[in-house]
Amino acid sequence: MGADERAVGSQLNLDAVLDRCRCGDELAWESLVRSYQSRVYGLAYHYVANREDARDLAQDIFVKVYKNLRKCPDANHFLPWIFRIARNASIDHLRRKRARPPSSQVSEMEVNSIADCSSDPEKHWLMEARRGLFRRALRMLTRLNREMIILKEIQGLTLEEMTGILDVPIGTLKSRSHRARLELAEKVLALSQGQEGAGL
Amino acid sequence: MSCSDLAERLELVLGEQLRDNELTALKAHVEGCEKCRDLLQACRGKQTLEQADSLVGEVLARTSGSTCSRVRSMLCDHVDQSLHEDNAALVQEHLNYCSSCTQLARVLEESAVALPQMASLDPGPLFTSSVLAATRSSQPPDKWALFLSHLSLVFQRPHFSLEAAYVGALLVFLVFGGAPVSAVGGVASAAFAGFQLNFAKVVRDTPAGLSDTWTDLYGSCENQLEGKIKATQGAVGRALETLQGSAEQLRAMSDEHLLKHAAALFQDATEKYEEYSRNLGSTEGSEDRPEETAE
Ligand SMILES: [Zn+2]
Ligand SMILES: [Zn+2]
Repeated sequence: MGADERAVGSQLNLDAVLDRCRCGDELAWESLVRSYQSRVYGLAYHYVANREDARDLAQDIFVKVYKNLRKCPDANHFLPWIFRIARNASIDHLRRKRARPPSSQVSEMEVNSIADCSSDPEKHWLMEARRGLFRRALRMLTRLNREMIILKEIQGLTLEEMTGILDVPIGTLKSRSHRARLELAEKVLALSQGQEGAGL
Repeated sequence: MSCSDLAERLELVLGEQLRDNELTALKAHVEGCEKCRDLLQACRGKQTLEQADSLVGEVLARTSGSTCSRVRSMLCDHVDQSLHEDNAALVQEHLNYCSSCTQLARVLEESAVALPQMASLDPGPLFTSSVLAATRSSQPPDKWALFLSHLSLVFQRPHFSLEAAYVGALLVFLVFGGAPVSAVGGVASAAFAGFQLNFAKVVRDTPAGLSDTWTDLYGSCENQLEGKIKATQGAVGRALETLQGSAEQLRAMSDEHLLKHAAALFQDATEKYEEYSRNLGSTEGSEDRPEETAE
């Protein structure tokens, strides 16, 4: 999978934008932020499962990216690079949060997906409800299985790219990959059957 | 007769095709085995369909083992259509009869569509501007760092002293701010005018690209120096003193010495600026550390 396929909405080619960013071009940096903010926010949200935390976290991630722009690789390796930074920041955030749990549990409103371009509101609502179910199921998985789903199935990284991010051998990831998908499907099934049982 | 013997002969049992001695053995076993009794009752239609369904499972459990777990181990590949033909046919056959595996396969198919749609989420309308504000206040890709890296090229060029002289004069001009010329006096003013001419020549003679750099540099010098000199009394303040001291000497000097002196001045200012950057870096580092006071 090439970089261009995965880059979001950028007119200039990513290598050119990255070159300009490395030289301190503020417009190029703005374009880069706009191109990747929904992916980075999406990643952070699925790690921390809270909109406000995810937004703060995504901002911190971009500050980290900015400070490391000079070390950033070429376009083909940019997405895994930015995701590695995002993933490590997310894990740090969870670790800090575990050390200091929140005093009250605020009920979390669901976020809106960008991918949804359906014009039919009813269909939109149904799909959003369905994605909500997938998100709840995702939170029920073990950590490695959850990360497998977030990085591979949701963000579309390859197993090769993931070994660099998770520091787990590729063989382990290979054998985990199907188990994680199956486990998620089982949780989704259990949740949706529970909903039917409750008359929803 | 054992339970598995019975399972193997189930078809014969139900078709009442057992030989007499087998029938006797069967009756003896069933009398003592509740499970097999239930099995036979169910098979003869005395139980509901659902119980009969679990019965097939029971039969399989006794013979080949549960096929569901084997099917599930291949289900992802089946959904991805990456299964070998033979296996795919067998899995499909199982799915025709097993509702729980079929449901699972449907969710797997659904997730192949639904999960990639979750990759991008809208962080809200204010997100970009807040990131830009946060990165504008944080340091790197600094124009000065960029400028210094260009400078390393310039140092190797024959025009260096001339260019450096210009920048040095520029610094003097900028440092003395709004009333630069009167503060430094007529000589510096004349020198500056001369340097501007030289600058035009330098720009004309330099390869394309570098002239842009000098033009950028002019703007960058103006903004950065003004901002930073105002912002801090520390290292840049000392740089300023050096420049002021040098300005006194400038007045006493003839024009031909001026060029060399401005070059030295420029280098000095650069060093001071680097020192200032280092100090800035180290104070920022200490801010990053967690506060020791209790919250
Ligand atoms: Zn038995
Ligand atoms: Zn099955």
